[in-house]
Amino acid sequence: MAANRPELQCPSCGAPLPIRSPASLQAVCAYCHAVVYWNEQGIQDAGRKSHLIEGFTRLYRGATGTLRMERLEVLGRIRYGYGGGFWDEWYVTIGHGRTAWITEDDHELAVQSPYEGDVSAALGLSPGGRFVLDDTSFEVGEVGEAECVGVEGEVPKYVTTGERYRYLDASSLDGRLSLGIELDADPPSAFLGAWLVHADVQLDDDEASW
Amino acid sequence: MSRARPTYEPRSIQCRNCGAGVELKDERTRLRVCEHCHAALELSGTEQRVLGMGRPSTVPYRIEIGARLAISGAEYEVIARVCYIEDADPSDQTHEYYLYNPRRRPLWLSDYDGDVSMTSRTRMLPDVSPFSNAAVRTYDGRSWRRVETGVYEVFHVDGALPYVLSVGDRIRYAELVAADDPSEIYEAQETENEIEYGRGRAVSEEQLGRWLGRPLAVRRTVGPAEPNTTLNFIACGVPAGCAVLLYFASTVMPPGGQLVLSEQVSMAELDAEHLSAPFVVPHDDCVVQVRLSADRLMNAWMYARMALVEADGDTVIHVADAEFGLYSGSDYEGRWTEGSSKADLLVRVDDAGTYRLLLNGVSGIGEDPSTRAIHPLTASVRTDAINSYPMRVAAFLLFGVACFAGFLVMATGGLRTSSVGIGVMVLAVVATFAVASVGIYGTSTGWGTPELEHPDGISIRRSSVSGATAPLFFAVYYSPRAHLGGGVHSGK
Repeated sequence: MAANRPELQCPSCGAPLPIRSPASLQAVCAYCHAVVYWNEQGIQDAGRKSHLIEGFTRLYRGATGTLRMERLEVLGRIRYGYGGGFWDEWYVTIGHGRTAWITEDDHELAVQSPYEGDVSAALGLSPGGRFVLDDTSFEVGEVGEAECVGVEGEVPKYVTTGERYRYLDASSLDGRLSLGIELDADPPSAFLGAWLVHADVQLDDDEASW
Repeated sequence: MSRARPTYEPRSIQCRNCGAGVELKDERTRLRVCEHCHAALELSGTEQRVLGMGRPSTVPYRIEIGARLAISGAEYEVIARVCYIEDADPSDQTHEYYLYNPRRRPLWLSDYDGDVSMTSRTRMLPDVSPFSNAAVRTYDGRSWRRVETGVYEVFHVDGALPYVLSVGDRIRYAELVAADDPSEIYEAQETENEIEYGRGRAVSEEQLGRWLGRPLAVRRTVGPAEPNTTLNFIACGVPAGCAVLLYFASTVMPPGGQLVLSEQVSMAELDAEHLSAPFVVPHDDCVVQVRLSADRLMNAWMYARMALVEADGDTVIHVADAEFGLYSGSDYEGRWTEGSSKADLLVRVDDAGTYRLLLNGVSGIGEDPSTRAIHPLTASVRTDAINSYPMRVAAFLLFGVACFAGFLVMATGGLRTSSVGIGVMVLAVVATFAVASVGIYGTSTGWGTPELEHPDGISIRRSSVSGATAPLFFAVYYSPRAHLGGGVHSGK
């Protein structure tokens, strides 16, 4: 479980702002939806609001459970939109404070962590293009431009609603591994992980009906 | 420290078309068909756009929108239905149901003629195109046998989908079963932009009934779709209606233009040859109408000859004749009238200038032959006259289009709402518009008006030289003959 920081207060409304991960750099107040961040000068009000509708996703901010038998806690999310819809990037802690991202796209989950290897073989490919990464063959599923449409909870980076980046998504040919590349970073930043089946994630309040 | 799960509350929007409240169960919904007015709404963020208007479903779906299925411990709701057809045959239907649960990936339930299957999207890729004839293996080592490939056409859609789908959209599909387990399914669906793979299993009717918690309705055999009355009415009625309108308009259309001559010609003058007063044709390429009317004609006939003469009175540039008669009587059905006491002659005059008419005629009673005129004649000339001939031709052509459409309707037992039926209707409407436009344009520009027969001219004086008595032009131009009468045969 993530360690609690000394409790912060929202500079906008004064409500408590519990921060669960020491790696977090930005949070959204659950009460007034003010976006706040902190740096050497202390906690700052970004002067913006961000509000995402909840209830339509399997994961949710504050959810706890297990991911492949390891303790899971959901800290926050960023929602990205693209021409055909949107997906959520959930910021989670796994086990004893290890952080990761879980992508939830059309109710399918993939857990990803930063990948430090060379992904240059994937750059420039179009959907359907194939490449090899660490002896595993991948196929590009999508290349596009994403726009941040909202944030909630805490996240380990500064992100602004409306900011855009180009991305490339790929899956291994056997459908098990997932790779996401943010193309605008130099060098591009990559996240590698695995697609999850429903049973891989067990939430404490999972139930059949809704 | 766990937080309580946020409540799932479907959103509600107002249909942009009818204003009714419409529920959105899935926040990813891109297409929502309003259940009140059947408008297809495209949703993007908070924006709505009406893509088109649908119709109440006549598709014999076996599961209704809103039905809930308990599958593997999770509850799903049917939030969309799609009916596909193949080969433009509305009786060859595949019904697909989109099953939604906000915490699980969506499922597709497919029902083709009682063969039911359940699939969901997979990222497991095939080693070769599933549309090819080669043996297919997926990268988990499984082998698949191709069962069917084809092209679906969207015939009907309702509910809510996370993407936009329109009636008429075409989707190429391939269905394969596992080499070692025919109940296991692998499928590919290809649209213009992407290819998606699905994986699942065949489902028995009993299993489906258990999921639904009730016995499944017996699949109603889908007969050929009912003929679409509107479609048939438009395909036949539009060209037929236009044909009638055009023909009627051509008959009641006033001659138009300007009256430049109206002159009584006596019987004696007709017996000889009468040269009219001069009249002016105001511009080149002018449509000129000469109306010959014998108002006293009753149960009688007249044969009149007309020559258009340049103003010098010596040069004929056009010759025409007309034969007309008006008969009337009574029989056991009552009174009848047949024929006309007048005739219209049209000609396109090349050059502006001053002209005269040279007239000659004979008339008789009943069907008796005659060699002289016994009725007077009124000759009138209009310049820039309207020639309704192109409209009449267009009317007859449209009548042909209507007959052909009618033949197709009878041959097919009535047009249905299919690509063929809609295509026939569109063709009929387009042909009607094109033919009617050409007919109206032709009338406005005088298409089909006879040209001058002798644009270089014939000298009356020269012709008369060979005649027996000067200045009888017609006696020379036409072979001397006595008209044998009865242009229009009397009696019904």
